[in-house]
Amino acid sequence: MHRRASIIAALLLAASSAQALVVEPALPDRQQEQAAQQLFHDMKCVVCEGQSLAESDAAFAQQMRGHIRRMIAKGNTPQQVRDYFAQRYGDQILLTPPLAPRTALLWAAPLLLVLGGGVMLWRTLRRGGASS
Amino acid sequence: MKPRFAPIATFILLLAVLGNALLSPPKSPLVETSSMMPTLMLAPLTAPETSVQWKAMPDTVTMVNFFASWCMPCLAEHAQLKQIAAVEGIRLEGIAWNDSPKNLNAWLKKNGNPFTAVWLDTTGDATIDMGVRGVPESFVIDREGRVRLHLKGALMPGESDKVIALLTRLRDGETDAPAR
Repeated sequence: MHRRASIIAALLLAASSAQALVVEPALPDRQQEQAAQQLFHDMKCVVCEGQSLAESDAAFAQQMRGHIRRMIAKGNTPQQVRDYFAQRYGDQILLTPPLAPRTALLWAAPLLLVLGGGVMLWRTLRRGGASS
Repeated sequence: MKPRFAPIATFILLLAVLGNALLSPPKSPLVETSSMMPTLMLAPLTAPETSVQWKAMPDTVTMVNFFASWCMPCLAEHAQLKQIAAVEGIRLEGIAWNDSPKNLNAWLKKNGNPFTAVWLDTTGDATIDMGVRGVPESFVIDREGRVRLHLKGALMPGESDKVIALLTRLRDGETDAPAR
């Protein structure tokens, strides 16, 4: 009887340690957890191409989520967390790149393309109208 | 410019920009820095259940190596780390990421232990704090506690001479920090 109890206890213990790898405790404060979740969606996983931190199951992504939660729990603002990661891993880790002289062309590109397309369309239509 | 030349001009411009990026030499894995080494929370391999606030030893040149027993490139740089460990008067400290004490001890026993001290980063906090993307990566810290070099990736034989030269230079009293 005693032996069976100890086997069950050992199994439970093994199960709980296996679970600890998967289950990530959310922050008790709901607003803080929400801020952390938003950051997960706005940050890249550095070891897996094309995934955000929120989507990745990689061990490193889990550790990064834990790190972000701890930073938020300590009272860091989301912007401070973003700056902290950008300083260490470069702006590329942010899924929304900051607006800076360096990234101005990136942000302006859609507008420039639409304007350029508009000009081309207008000229083509005008020429078409003149020939008919 | 006549409209029919526009596509050709655009193509040539694109070719120039992309060609330049493609043909320019790759970035060196050795990156010079001058930021202060932060304090890290680490568990000593000799007592993995505890955790301590790790600081680079004052007035000592230290090389910190992030590694893991499951990491193949770490094995590839192991011979170079042994060369570095042979440099007198410097500390070589190993920080194992995502590893277990059991696997680490077995790995160090099998391949040799070049480290002055071995630590475990169980939460990933130290790894993230140093901006490490994966193992192996290394840092050279001068006697004032400044990070002078960030090596992203394995230390290859050609680079280890440069790193050893830097370590001896820092050890022998070069204190002037690089321009900030």
